[in-house]
Amino acid sequence: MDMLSLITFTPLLGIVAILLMPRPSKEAVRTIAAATTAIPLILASKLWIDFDTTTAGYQFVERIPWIGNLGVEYFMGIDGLSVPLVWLSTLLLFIGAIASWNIEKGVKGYFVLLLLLEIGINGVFCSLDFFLFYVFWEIMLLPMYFLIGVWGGPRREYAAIKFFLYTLAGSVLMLLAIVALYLAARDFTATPFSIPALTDLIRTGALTGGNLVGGGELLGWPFLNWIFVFLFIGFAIKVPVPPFHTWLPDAHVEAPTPISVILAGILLKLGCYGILRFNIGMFSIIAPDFAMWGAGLGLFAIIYGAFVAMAQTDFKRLVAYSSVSHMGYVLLGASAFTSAGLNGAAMQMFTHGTSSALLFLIVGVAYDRAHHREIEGFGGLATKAPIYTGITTLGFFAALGLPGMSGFVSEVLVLIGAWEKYPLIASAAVIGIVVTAAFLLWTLQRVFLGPLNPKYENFKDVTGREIFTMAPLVFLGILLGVLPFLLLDWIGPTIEGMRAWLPS
Amino acid sequence: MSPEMLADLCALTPEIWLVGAIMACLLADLVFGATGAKRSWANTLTGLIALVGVGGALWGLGPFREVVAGLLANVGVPWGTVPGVPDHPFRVLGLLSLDGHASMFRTIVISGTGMVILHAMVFRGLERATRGEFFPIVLGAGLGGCFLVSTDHLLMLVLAMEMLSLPSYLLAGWQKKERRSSEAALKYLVYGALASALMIFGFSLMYGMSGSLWMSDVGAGLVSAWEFGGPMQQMAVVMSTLLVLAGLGFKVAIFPFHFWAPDVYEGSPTPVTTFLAVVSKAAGFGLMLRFVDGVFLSDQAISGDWLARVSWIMAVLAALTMTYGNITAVLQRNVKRMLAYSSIAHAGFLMMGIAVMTSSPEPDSLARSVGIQALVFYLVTYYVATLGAFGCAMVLANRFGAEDTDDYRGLGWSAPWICAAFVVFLVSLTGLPPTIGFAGKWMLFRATLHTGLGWLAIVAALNSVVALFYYFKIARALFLRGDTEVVPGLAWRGLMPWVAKASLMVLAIATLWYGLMWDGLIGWVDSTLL
Repeated sequence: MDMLSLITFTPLLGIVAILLMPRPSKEAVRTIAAATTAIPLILASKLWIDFDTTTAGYQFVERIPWIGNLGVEYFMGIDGLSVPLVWLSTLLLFIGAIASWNIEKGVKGYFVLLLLLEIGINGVFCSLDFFLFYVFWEIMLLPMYFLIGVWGGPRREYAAIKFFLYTLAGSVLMLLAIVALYLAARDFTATPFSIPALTDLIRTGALTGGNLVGGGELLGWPFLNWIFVFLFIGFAIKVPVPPFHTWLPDAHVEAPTPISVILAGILLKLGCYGILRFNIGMFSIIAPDFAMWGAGLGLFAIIYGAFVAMAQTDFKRLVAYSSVSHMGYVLLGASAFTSAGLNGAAMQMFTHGTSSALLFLIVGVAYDRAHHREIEGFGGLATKAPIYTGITTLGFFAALGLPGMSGFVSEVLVLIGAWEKYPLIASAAVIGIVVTAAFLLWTLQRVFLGPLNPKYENFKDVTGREIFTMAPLVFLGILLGVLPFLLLDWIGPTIEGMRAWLPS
Repeated sequence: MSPEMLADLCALTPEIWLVGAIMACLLADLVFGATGAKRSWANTLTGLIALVGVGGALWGLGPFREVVAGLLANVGVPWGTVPGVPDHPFRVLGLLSLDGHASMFRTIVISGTGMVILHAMVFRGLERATRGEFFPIVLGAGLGGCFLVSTDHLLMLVLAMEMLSLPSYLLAGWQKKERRSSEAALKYLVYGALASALMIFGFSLMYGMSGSLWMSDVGAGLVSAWEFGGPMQQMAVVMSTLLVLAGLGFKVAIFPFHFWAPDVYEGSPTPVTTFLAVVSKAAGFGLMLRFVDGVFLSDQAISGDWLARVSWIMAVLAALTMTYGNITAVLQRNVKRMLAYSSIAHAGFLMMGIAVMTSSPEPDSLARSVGIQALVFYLVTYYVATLGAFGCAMVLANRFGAEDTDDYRGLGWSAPWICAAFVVFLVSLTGLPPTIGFAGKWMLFRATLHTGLGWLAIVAALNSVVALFYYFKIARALFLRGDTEVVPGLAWRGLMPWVAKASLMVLAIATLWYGLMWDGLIGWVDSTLL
């Protein structure tokens, strides 16, 4: 087995071990889960080091025929777009496993599902075969449903099924697009699902769908445009881009803390990754026609998300809506097609992955102690929990894009990139930054500053385990703010490779 | 005995095994099934005899034996040639056409019957006193199914149809003391008789127009009546087609001929429901496939104008059936009733295959072959998942007396393996990877998009979102509701329950395994049918 397969399937060992152990203790299950999420993290770190940052092509490629009748392959590989996300997901899954230590109900099932989730996530980022991609994409749904539905908050059933239905609605459209693409491509290639092969066929204009529908048009609209839109809706629901976002706040609020961390940190990135990889990378000849729409939706997400976040009284809901806003930057930057915009979008995925995960861990700490999340219900926690307050301050600064923190670099890149194409939209997006800063600082003030709420006389500061889960994220936020090239050098060549096919 | 007769008999090996098993079961029940305490082991014995018969019948069918021979050859055990069924298309007694189609569908019918017998042996809802008589009747229905999928002659078709239906009416009313069961039987009988009558009337019109009962002659007669006849003859063509469609539609429960299904499925004992949902439906689709292929797509009967209408009707029926089935299933609480509506919805999905088959007016067109391939493949996936789902429902009813989704609260923690398997089957019925149901859906979508029925594919895709909602009402009840306390339930030990549970696990593993490795399965379908 090669590197990527090892990273993807190591959690399977954990699943088998947990299932086969006769009456394991809770501690044993947790340890196995932590170990089998730590191994992929170590392997992914090695991947990061071994990654060749001078080429735009796919690396660590594995390729075995799988379903011969259809030309499906087990085809794995990564490039600059996916390698940061693979590393991020292994990190957040590890953090998630550690943060799940206080789960007491159905421990065995919980960790089995968590590990299954990791297989799905890493598989999506590593697969270069569209069919394989889809299989991994759907494998994630089921564990997520149960993780929210069984271990979530009071309205968990509603949130879980809403998440499942929304995502499935998107992915059946995606499935239809994949089938249609396969039917159109199989006259040209023996491997009609291979993402590189499809990308070449579409970029060079060989694949128009003319062999499937007369004249390559369906109801008066080009075949490829339909595919583009179906794929975009599938990904946009996952991102989520308003108006497809309503599952997100519910899922976040009801999910247990570690699952929120994974949901915000990685699952949202899957949608963005899909848009960058397929809508912009693969459909580079279609994307310009829709760029204005993308930028507009991005702007709407940024401003809408920020304003709605400001109106929230629930701490976790606030963080959830701030994610909607932050994902808008990815869409805006990606729609600009400029070097700065695309680099910024790819970096924003990573930085938001670290900062939002941190914010959800912070909310989790407060909830564990106070058993509620009303922002107004706290106050003056800084006096009782100085370390917690310090971490929170850093986390908020990273999220609101304070210079010197990672969020600043990616958001500035996005805005510069967007400015070159759409100066009006870029200037309007600045409103989002201001509002984000406003609601985060206001929250900081209401929760941590001012007189201590007498109810929380005995508020305990963060424990060692909690610091252990949060420290790496704080560290990454500062590190990438100061030395952003540590990430951008890895992303850059791939982005330039994509840009070669896009109008400048 | 002449060589031809001997060859005919050899070709009917599976059916002969079934007939033998029916007689042996009756005899065993007569001899050992006295009264009182003896009943229990006598019932088990009868059931085992029935299972042996099913095993022999499967053995007599080509594919299964080849698999075993291949396995034995792999481990170095020499395996000589076995006299038996020839593999090439084979006409038996003039009325049966034992080709690849027949062998595929007979495999499904016979193995499904076997699973039903296994379930009936452990199902608590069947009374001890009459359980022994249950098996020969199931076998008889299975035998009817075998003939139904093998014939291309309308007279034999009617006979086989009744041979499948009559035992089914009996089986539906097996729980005599249950009011719902009696009601189910009566309802099934009345509607079934009506459907048979309509179909036979349709056949008689067809005979009038073609002067023959062979499907291909009937097809030629219909087309010439349609193209060269006056308005009255055209009317007769339309009437006869609609009448036959109504009869067939009743058998496989497609909208608007479905209304018997929910009540009958809910009222029948669970193993019988399994039989109706799996074996009866598979046989019905085997028949429908052969009928559409033989009448509307036979070489001398192709008429673009006529076929386009048939295809359109099929596509609309498919869309209506799946939408109706899925939306109504959302409202159900009783799990069997929900699965009944789900099986109506799946009949709609299967109809997509028929719509695809008939969408091209050329003989031996690509549309025909992808349609057949997709339909049969989907049927196999439906077969596996539905058998599993009903099996799990039966186990839960046995151990916890659970029938409604409300009764299922929190049972996931008490019977984790069965409930996990249940979820796997539900995921497969929804059509999500990595299960076999996804493979089936994939093939159907491919076939519909390939033949320009894009709208139907979109309807089907959105339907699977609705399907998810109600399938996961079961999963939600099992795992999300109630508390995680372990409920002991009724003790359910012994060899046969263990075998039944093991068979469910095997089905669950097959669901997952073939969801990832369906290459071989497609190859099997292709090589058998095309």
